[in-house]
Amino acid sequence: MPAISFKNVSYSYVDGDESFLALEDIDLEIADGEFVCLIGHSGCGKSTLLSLLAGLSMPTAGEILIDNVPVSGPGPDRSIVFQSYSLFPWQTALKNVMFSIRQTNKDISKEQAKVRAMELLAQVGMEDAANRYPYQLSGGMRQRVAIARALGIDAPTMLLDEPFGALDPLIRGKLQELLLRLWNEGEGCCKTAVFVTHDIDEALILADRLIFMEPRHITREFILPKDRARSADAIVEDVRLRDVKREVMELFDATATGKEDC
Amino acid sequence: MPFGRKPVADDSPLAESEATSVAMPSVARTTTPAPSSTKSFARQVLTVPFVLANVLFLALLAAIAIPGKVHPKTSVPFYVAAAIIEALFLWRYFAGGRKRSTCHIAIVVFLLLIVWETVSTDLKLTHPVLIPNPENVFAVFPARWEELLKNVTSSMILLAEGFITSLIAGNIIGLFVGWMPKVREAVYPIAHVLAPVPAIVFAPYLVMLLPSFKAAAVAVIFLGIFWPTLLNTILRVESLDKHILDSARMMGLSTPTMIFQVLLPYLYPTVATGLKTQLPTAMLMLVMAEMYGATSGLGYFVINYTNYANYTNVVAGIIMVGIVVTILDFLVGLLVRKTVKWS
Repeated sequence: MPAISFKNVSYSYVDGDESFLALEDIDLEIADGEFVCLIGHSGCGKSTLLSLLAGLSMPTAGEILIDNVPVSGPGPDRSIVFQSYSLFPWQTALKNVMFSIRQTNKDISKEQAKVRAMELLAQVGMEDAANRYPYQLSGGMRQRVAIARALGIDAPTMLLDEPFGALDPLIRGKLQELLLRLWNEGEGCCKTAVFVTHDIDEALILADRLIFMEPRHITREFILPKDRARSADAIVEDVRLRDVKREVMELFDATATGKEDC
Repeated sequence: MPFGRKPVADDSPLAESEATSVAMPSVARTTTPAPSSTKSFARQVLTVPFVLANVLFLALLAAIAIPGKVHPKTSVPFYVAAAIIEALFLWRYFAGGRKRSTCHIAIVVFLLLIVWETVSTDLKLTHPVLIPNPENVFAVFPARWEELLKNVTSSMILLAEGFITSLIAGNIIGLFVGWMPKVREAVYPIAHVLAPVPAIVFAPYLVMLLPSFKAAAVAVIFLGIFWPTLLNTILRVESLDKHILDSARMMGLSTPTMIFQVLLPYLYPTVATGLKTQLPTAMLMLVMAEMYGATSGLGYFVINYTNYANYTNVVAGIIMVGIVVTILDFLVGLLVRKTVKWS
């Protein structure tokens, strides 16, 4: 049984007097515990799709089911990490993580929440920066804390909207490793993940399944081999991944509309 | 090497922090070490602006000491005032940063006092009633301190009432209006039209309309501060980072939690800095309002003695307003620095 399913989902938004169709008749099923990457040019609707799944906007047609229950708004059964730094700037790293824990689990005491938050910060390698404010942290450190905060909302589904998009390649690689580690043996284990990116390599490293989007539609899906090594090196060495990469690059070229110059 | 960074070998995030320590003000910010050795003391003292400021201070003392054409009863309060200015200057110079600008301020202040003293007392070039001499002006402070204090207190009570109520109302209403798009669309244009109307034009009317002068003064301050505060708060709520708010929405927060635990703390720094920028406006409203029909307060002190053509007291009153505004500004600045720990 799929954990998440999109049924004929369309979304249009109004800008001034004009209405724009961002997504059209999307059908998509995501299995429990699956790591899915949505990939495509900017403006193809992948972030919109994620925001619909988050419940931050509502589809104009069709419906989205999570465990057979229609999504009716944002809620703590899904957690989210954005590309832009979205930690609460008025709280320290520790307080940020504690806030998410306590707001989504009312039974937990303040002390328990603190212990739990420190555990999560340790998992993302940020225990030494617990008492720093976000403005005192580098971009990579903020995203580490943002991941810890999202894990603090003990939700079965995690949504990631280009979480490493603003980071330089070195830090980006390290955070991809961290995310994989969390998924394989840490707090992220067995969670369903929907990850938006426009970086092919990132998708090839992380995903179980890669979904290519053209404006308004899902056009191709690639199921990546489960037995592969999930690393940057594997993309160069593994013939199967090289093939997928070539195909995706061709799709990117074919769907380019001049936007790639930006 | 990407971006000219040192390659980071280990996996610890602290390696990242090392590369970006510039972006961490509170960590990177170090206070300048206190001048312990005589050498650094000499370097601080032997600068052109510092020496010039102190030479001017001595010149001012000399100008006061020289028997001029006018013989004021006492010069002691003026000496004391000059000494206080010098002490404040030295304190700021040795304790604070921006030493050069501190010197420049002191130079201008001492120059003005020297010119004032020379033309009024020493040379008697100006009309003795219209341009009172500094000795007499500063003598007002010890002679009339009780009267001044009473008026300052009365002003401060009005200021506190008008300022605090308008800030609370403006921010709370602005928060709700800004948070609800439909209400915002209706209220914002109205506020936008009303905000630039100078509240002081209401003053004479409000004095007539309201039962007491006190109520009228509070109302004038309220009107002067409320609309800009409301307008700013609406705009600020609108311009808050959508992703930060979305992160909060994903936690399924209730509306009160959202407003009091997310929006308020998020907005607090702008509220606090708004306090600092609106204080002078509030003071302006207050003093202007007190010039109509008041029986106490700083504005009353000034207008009352203007009516009696006692310009010595008028100038002293104006200086008093300046002192009060400066102290309030300093206190509010302190409050802002102590309570805003981020941004």
